[in-house]
Amino acid sequence: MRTPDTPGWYVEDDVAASVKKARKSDTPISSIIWGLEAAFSDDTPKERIKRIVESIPDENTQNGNTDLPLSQPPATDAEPREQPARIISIQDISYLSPREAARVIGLTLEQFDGNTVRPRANDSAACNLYWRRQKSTVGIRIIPSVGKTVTEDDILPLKEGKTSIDSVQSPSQLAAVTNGKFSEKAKNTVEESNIQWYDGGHVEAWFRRAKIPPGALGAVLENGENHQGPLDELVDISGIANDISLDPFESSRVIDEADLSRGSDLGSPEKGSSNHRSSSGGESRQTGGSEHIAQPDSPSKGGETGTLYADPSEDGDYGALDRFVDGIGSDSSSSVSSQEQNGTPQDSSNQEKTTPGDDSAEDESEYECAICGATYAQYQNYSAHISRCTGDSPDSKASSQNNARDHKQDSDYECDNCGATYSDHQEFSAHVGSCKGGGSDSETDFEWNSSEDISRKELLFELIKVKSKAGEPVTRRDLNNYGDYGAPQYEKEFGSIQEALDVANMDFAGDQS
Amino acid sequence: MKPELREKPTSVPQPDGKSVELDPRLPWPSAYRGSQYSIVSHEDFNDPVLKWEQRDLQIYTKPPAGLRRVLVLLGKEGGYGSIRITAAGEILTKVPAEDYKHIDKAPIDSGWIPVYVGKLRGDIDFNEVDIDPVVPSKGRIKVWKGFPFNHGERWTISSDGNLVWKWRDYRFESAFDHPELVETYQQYRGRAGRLYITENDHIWVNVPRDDIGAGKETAVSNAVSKWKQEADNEGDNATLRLVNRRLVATSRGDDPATGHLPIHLGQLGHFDDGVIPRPVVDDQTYFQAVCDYEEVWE
Repeated sequence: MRTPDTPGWYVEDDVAASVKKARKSDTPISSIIWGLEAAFSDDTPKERIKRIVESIPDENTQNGNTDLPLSQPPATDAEPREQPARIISIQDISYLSPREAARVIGLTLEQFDGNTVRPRANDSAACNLYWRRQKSTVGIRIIPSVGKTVTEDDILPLKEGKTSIDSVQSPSQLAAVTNGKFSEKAKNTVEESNIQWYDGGHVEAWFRRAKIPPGALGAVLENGENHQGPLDELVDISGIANDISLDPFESSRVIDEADLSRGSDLGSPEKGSSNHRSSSGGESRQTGGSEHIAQPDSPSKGGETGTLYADPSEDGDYGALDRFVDGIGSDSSSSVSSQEQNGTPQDSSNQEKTTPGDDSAEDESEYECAICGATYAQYQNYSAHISRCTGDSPDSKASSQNNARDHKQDSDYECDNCGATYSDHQEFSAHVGSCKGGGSDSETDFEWNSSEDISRKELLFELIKVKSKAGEPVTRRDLNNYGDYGAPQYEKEFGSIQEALDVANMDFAGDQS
Repeated sequence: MKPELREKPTSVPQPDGKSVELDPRLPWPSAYRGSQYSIVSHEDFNDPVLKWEQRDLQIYTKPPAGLRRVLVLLGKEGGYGSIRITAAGEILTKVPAEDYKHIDKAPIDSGWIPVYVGKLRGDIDFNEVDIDPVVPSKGRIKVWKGFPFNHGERWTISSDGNLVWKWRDYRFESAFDHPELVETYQQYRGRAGRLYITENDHIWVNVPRDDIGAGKETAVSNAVSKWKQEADNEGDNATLRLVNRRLVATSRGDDPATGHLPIHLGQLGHFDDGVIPRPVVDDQTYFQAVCDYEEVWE
């Protein structure tokens, strides 16, 4: 609003134009400041007005800016580079919930064929996506993964749980899908159960073919939770041309399985070359905290020598190294030393057992004791050992330890399990009873000390009995018929029958109840 | 040098201060011990491979030249099977008694007969896992970067300072004295425990954080920090994983930090004029026991 003091060069609401107009009429700067001060009705400090005026370039000065060096010619005939169309990749799945991931993969599958149905949040179905294809319905369990291998436990609901919901025809086919990779055990489990599996390499192939733009991803994430119909009703995407719409379940993976654990650098076609770095090829991983290390878990076709294959899910927390260092010299109440003073020395056995998977062992050992790992070529020897090892005879492992010590000339008593030594036989005997493994040569396969562990031990003994009566592979029915404990007891203790049999190195025939 | 089998005799200590000069392919008159490998056929490899394995961990390489041939001649079908390599580089295997040509020379004529195959010459190379790592300077230590399972002869330092090879209830002391080796062990480990000697003469031990020898805490701590930094920088995932697994395997609860750290003490040449410990089997029942079991604990 103009006041009587507002100068004539003042342009309403345009300070820059006002200043330039004042300069044109050779108005002194002090007068410009005074004029603006009068024009502003908000008590703007004079110093601030002065800075505003000084910061407004006059027209002559502006022209001089054309001499500033530019990073490129002021004008070019070149066409701007076309922006690459971004499409979603398996990386985008990593941090989604299973339900969200199911929507994204559902949308993707709809581009190939049919439509999808997602169970309601309160449905307890093992499948979180149903793909209604032209001639069949597929129940799918989507398992998002952040650099973690999908384990057998992740799969088991699909095998043992409810796979149908009321609103969809019961699936004729089941599939497990992840953006990561499956452990060997998980793969074995699904294959035994006639469940198909598709890992990140496959899913990435689907994504690259379906070309889902990020906008569509956002739409199904934001609006898909309560949407009952096909997901492509929520988005405007072109779909896949019929002539290239191959069955995604028959497409090959576009990322090698061995490269799937590498985490953040996966999933982008532009980074394809980086997906094939050797795990030892300068890929630096900080191992603080609980990060995991990528490593292939088995040789691929044309396997490579000199590569350490591993199941990353077997790794321990890598932050342990730091804690180990931090704990050096600390006086922990749970420390080995303090426990040793109480007569339960913690020096581990450090005795490694040969693993049943040793190919050479396959042709040379038939029977392996689930308690101590000793293997036998002949069943007779094995049976004799079992009776000793289970403590049925005075020649049990723990007893034999004591006997051995009694025969010793030396004055010390040394635990065969952990190597701890005692000069006092009473202390030694107390230790033998409580030492991990109870004289077992295994490292950490069994924990015997707690009452819970004793129960596990008994269960394993029973497995041996069941096997001797029913033979291998062991079925669920065998456990129920021949063991003192039914199959549910093993599931409760070990998580699954398969896990229990794995511990005992026995084969499982499946759920033939 | 690429590894190869040399069929040459070796000297094996016997009771009463004696020793026997043993030709290849004859029954092994001592403790069945050493690093454990297998020659296997694997569908993903065109040729048979030498495998090291511990549970889910596996790594493969080419077998020493000439080894399969001799294993076949010994009665091992296809030249496949499990072998041990002692600290002196002696390759041992077990042959089914019924297939073994020299069964008449064995103390036991049934089961699986331990046999001396020959000597390893050259180095087995597992690429990602360095089983012949740089040795720490004398008086210093490093974190052990080789295999932390099934690797090396497993000895025990008893509380009275003897080096004892044990299996089940059998205890066989070394034919030689090893005061420097034992003393070094005791500097880093307060209590009796295991000590491993590999075919490359490396010595590694397990050290729990609560049983580090007095005054050696900083040395252990520094060794871990340095090793970890190097492994991180070099992207040496294999060693990070192996050490992690050792901690996991030897921990008592869920926390691997309570486990035992594999520490590299050095090479045999640093101790006792390089004398290789060799157990003297003075209990003949051991041979019966070891023949009864194909897979043995060492």
